[in-house]
Amino acid sequence: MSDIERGVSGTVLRKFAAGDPEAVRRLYHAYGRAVFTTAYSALRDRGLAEEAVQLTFLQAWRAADRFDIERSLGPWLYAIARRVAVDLYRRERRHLGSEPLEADIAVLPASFETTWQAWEIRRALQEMPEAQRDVIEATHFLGLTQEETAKRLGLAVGTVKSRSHRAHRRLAQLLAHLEEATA
Amino acid sequence: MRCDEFTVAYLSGDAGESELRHLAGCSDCEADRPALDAALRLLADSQMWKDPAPQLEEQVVALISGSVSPAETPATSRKQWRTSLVAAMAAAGVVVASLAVWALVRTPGSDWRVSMPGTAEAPAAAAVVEGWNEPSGTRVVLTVTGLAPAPPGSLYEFWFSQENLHVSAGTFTGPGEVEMWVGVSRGAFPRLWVTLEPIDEDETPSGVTVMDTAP
Repeated sequence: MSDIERGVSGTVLRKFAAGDPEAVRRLYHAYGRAVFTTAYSALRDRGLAEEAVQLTFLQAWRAADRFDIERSLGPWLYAIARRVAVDLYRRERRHLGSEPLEADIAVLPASFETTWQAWEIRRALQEMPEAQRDVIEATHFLGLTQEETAKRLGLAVGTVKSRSHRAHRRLAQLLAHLEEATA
Repeated sequence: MRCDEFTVAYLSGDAGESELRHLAGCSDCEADRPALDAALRLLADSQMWKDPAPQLEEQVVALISGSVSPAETPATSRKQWRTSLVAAMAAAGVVVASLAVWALVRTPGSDWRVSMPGTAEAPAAAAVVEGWNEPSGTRVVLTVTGLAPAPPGSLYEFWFSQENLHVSAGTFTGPGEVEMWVGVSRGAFPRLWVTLEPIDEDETPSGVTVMDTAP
């Protein structure tokens, strides 16, 4: 069980099912970014991804009283988010194309193939201390060297190296978890 | 070298000769490498580092908490929300939620619908936009709440935009339901937004945005 899931107890879920605003906030803080990233990685459209977030939490709320609290909440929410993204993708295809074939709508683009990895990596980044996350972002997204990262973050190169090692060890642990989950 | 050491080195880009030797002789690491490569591609992708708009949290809370729930009567909610300044914002949220729920559950007729939150210029404003894709353009119905009437000498203008290309769908003066027409599709012009415009000869958007689907 992750740090995020430890923050969402059965009590919170029952309050979420009752529409309690604080419980909705707790769940949103725990999973909102991962839901957004999942939808955004699949749909590649910020507006649609934000619509997907609203619909995912709405559908989760509608189904929350039937959720078995012994199960893990993350994969359940992920499944809802992905299904919502698929529905939105097909809706947009219907309306953007003149008369797309049904078979054309049924085929999902490659961006949908890595939504689970996107979910898990986003959650790992969210659980990571900000200092480590900054190093990961500088290295992988901005493509900076350790020296450049040190300059950007105002740190010693040695500090960047040690943070980078800890951050990548954490990511490696996540990927091991990902392998187990998808095996 | 252990497999977990190889994984850390591979992810961090520090894989040297010893790691490559390990990879050559380790079927487990070789099997894991596609997953590691996929993770590296995702980490380099901007979508992994973007956050939803800050106001989305309030929209989700309003959408759910403002909906009728078997466990909480609407009367109880209203009683709690009347007690402070926060109550005004919560009430606005309920209106937004009601609009959103209405938009979600009403009989399907429009081809698409999207919520358009207020900006810092008009935080209590919100709208649901419904569109019908037609051969020669898009018919839209804009249902606006929480927006103050436009001051004298000005009006609100509703725009469809694609980056720096802006097409006006028309003007209106305050909250309520407004029907408009625009000669472009939402697919090609995905950003929908409303500005406050002085009544003058300038046909470009002013800098005062009051609602926006892409804050």
